[in-house]
Amino acid sequence: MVGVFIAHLIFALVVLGMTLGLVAYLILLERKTAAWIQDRIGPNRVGPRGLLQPLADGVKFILKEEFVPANADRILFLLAPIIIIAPALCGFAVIPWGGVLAAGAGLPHWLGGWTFPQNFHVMVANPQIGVLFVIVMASLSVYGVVLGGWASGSKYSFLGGLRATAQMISYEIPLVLSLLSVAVVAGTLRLEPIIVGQASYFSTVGFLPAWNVFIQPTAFVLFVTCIFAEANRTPFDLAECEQELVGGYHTEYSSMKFAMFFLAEYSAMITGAAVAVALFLGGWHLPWIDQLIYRGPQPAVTGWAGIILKFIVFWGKVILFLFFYMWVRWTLPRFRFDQLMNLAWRGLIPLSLGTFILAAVFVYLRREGILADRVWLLLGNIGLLAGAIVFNYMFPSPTSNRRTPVRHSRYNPAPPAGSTQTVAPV
Amino acid sequence: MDYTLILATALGAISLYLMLPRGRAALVKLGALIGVLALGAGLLGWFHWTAQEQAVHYPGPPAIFFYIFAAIALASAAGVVCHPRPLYAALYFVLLTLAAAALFLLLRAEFIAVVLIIIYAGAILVTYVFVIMLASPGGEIPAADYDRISADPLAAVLVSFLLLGTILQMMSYGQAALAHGPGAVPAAGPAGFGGMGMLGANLYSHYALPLELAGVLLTVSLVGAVMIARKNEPPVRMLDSGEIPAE
Repeated sequence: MVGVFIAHLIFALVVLGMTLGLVAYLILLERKTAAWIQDRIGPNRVGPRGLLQPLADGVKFILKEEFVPANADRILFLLAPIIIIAPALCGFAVIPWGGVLAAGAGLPHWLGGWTFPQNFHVMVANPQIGVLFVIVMASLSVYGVVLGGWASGSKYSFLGGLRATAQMISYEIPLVLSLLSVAVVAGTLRLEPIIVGQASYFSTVGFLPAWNVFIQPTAFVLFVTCIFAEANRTPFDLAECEQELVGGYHTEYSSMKFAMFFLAEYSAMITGAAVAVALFLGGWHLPWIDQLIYRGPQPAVTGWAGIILKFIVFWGKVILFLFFYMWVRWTLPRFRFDQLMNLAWRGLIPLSLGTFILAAVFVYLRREGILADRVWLLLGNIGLLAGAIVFNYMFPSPTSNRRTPVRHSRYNPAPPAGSTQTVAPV
Repeated sequence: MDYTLILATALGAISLYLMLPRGRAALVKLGALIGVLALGAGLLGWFHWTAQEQAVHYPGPPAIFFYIFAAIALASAAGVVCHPRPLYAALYFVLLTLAAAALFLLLRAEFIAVVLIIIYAGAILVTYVFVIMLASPGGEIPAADYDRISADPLAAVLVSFLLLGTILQMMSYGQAALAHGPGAVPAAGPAGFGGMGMLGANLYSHYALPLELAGVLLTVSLVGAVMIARKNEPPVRMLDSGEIPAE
């Protein structure tokens, strides 16, 4: 058992190292994507094609002056970057990066030939609570943002912290509900069995892989929206809205402390992407090609070659999803704060409740043997979306913050009734 | 009577009384010292008790992690009550929740631990911190008088420690008496004890009615909160075209 523990420990270090390395290059990817979308070239001076830019950035971060504002609460100001980075790096523990290694398949001979006594889960820890652990870490990460904002002793930081709190509390509810509607159909919270359940095809629509994104598309849309909001990414990055708040909660931070906030944001992105891939995008399942390799569905427990294939597929999907994050960031404009809150409380939460009830009803019907095929859940989701759109038009629209024509808005008030005065053109 | 436990409770009461904020730093240090002594006496009592009861209740001594997290929990609980600045008190509460969750994890109650963190640290205390931040200024500005000086320390300490002492005596003596009676506590739970499967099955079979009632109660309070928060001003009248008519 000590060997298994050490193997988990080594794997934890490998994933941590990969993440920290990836974060540096994600920032480069972000800048390159931004440049590409805005028809620029992007960083291209350090190293071939700018590939050494992260290194230069890191050196610069270390050499910058550490500064604590005079008005800051010193203890919390120093503590906030630590509080934000610790949960961001813990969330990886329950992600099944590479499936399950079969009991007999140990290390290759040139590495000692040591074999695992039982099936080895290629992940750091495999608790019963599974994906709830990620939620715990996400809910704790809000403290770093809030304390960083409050302890800086600056109005801009403070407003950023307040915005982040309200936003994260609001979006956590639909996040958990959409995640539970997947878990209730799978019957477990562990991510590995959820992936195994997805590594097949629909029985009626045979060419379509039975990924949860195709079974519960509503839950997927809700989940993606909420992880964007939880990671404070555009269009939900009101906590660090440059036009209004300078830099938001990390306005007063400099040097490595600022880098910690950056690192935490990108780590949270990676965790969110990994959970999305595991829950909705089939995890390590390689669609269609698995039929050519295995002459059947991809097995859940494999030897070394299968593990490496799964690891590559999983990370490939994660990186594609990270690119999607950036694509959205440089495409969509930012919400207004009341729109943000309305979206969560009037849109996402009722819809996620509907999705969850739908999933629960499906589980009941499947248990009673009335509807067994998962395609019914897909149809139910489509029906729910259509119903929500129809219902949205029947619902009375909010009376505040409505769009008004410029002519009669407060910027250009209408002349009093009966007046012959004409309004000057703007 | 278990005299070590009585000593520990009394020392704890004195230490907390001294540590409660009065705007004097020296007393806090003295109180903390006596608090450590109280913890020591409590530990002695605990060892004494477990040595007696080990054969009945416990397959082995508690892990070292129990003592670490219990110490963190007790210290942060004292911090919640004694810190003169409300935001720090709320943060100590968060730390207390995390330590309590760790204690639940040691009991293999993973789900309870996770729910404790998500609900308390992730939702309720974030709201507390939010409200405190709105109410109290940031930076090194001294806290208000009602935060720095506790209102009625003697009565609070007496009542709470009488309760604590009674519970401790009950645990030390009553349990020993119960263990041989009809309601004997088994040394280890059945398979899957503390797990989510057993918890869910229990909640929806034995405790279905209380669960539903709790749900109804929460819904009612939610609706009530919305009604209270609602503004009673008439909505701005608008034309169908979205224009605001001139007054």
